[in-house]
Amino acid sequence: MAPGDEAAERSAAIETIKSLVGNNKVMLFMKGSKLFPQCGFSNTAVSILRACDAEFETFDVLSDYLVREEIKNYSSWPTIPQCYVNGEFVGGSDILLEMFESGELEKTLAELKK
Amino acid sequence: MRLSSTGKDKMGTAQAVLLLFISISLVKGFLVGHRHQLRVPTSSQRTEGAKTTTYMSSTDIDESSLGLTPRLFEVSRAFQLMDERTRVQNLLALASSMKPMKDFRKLPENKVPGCLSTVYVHAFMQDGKVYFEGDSDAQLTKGLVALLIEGMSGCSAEEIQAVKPEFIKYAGIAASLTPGRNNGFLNMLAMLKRKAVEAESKGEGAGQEEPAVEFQEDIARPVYSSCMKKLINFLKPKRLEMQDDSAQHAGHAGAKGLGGESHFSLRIVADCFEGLSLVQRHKLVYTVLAAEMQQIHALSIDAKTPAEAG
Repeated sequence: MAPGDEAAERSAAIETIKSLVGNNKVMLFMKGSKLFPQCGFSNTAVSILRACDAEFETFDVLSDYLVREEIKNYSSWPTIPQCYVNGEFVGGSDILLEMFESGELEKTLAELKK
Repeated sequence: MRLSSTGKDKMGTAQAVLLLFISISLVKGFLVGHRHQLRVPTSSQRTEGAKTTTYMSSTDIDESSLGLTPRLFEVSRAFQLMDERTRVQNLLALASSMKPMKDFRKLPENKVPGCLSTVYVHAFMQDGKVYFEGDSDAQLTKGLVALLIEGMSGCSAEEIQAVKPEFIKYAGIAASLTPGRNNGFLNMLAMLKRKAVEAESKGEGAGQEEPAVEFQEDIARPVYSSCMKKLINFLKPKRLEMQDDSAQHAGHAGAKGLGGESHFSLRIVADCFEGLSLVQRHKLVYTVLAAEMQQIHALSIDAKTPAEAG
């Protein structure tokens, strides 16, 4: 791949990330799909959002290595899954779990419905 | 005889150290009144046709031209009078009597570059003077570090800067070292000088803190060890536990081989998390472990303040 092509593809990946994060109230970048998570941590994230009855979109980073790389730069966060609420990075599976246990996650999601 | 790092001759530590002190006292006694100068015979050879003539010339050395600290001067003169074997024994004795360096200080930034063995040095300020700690996995190298530390601890950074590496020739040690080890020695001295300046600028007491967490380096677990050292030094945790969960992930696509060290979970309690959101706390940990994050697949983090941990 010529350098010019890669740069263009990378920009495209960043645009994809921005639109996914901007257009969905709850956006989860994960490994695998909502129905078939491919990693224990991604599975945890999906289960928690389900338990909160949240409406959320997912993106499978295993399907696109550029998005997989760029999402880490976008949030300055080195791991997957990554959950965004209202365009803002909220955390990975550990943080979602803590927020769920403290009740904070449901409160945040309830605010969205207003 | 070249010095290698296997000390085949063993002498009781007490005996060797005693020998060193006796040598120093003899030298002191003998040189009363001639403290600053010593004649060191050196020989040069010239070959004319079939005949080889050996000429003796003498070189005066004095402590001011080599910038030696008083203690370094004493140690150098003592070593000068010894034969090869005794020098090696004394270096090994210095190595074993040197105060051990705690594992958590063995960070990449404390490692002497360009050394054949692994050598760590650390400096701190106390009562306005610089003191050193050092360690090495090879005994003879450790002896060289110990010699430098013995000679330079308790001095000002300025005095330490003034020490010229040439003194090792006059101490009779240079001739016994291979070029590689000589180079290592120069790097050791350079690093000690740099650490001295840093310690002085950091001020009194900095670098002397004892961590609240116990840590032992594990050579078989380099990623774990590296993470622990960095977390202890930079986040100063009150509690720290890091567990290798790699075995639990052995089946799936992300796990890296059978060696483990791919998935970890971390429980950390530290004051630095005060006022920080969960995301900010995790980012802080990720920043400290940036290098390790490139190697490991997953890190599960539980980061609390002492109040939250209870």
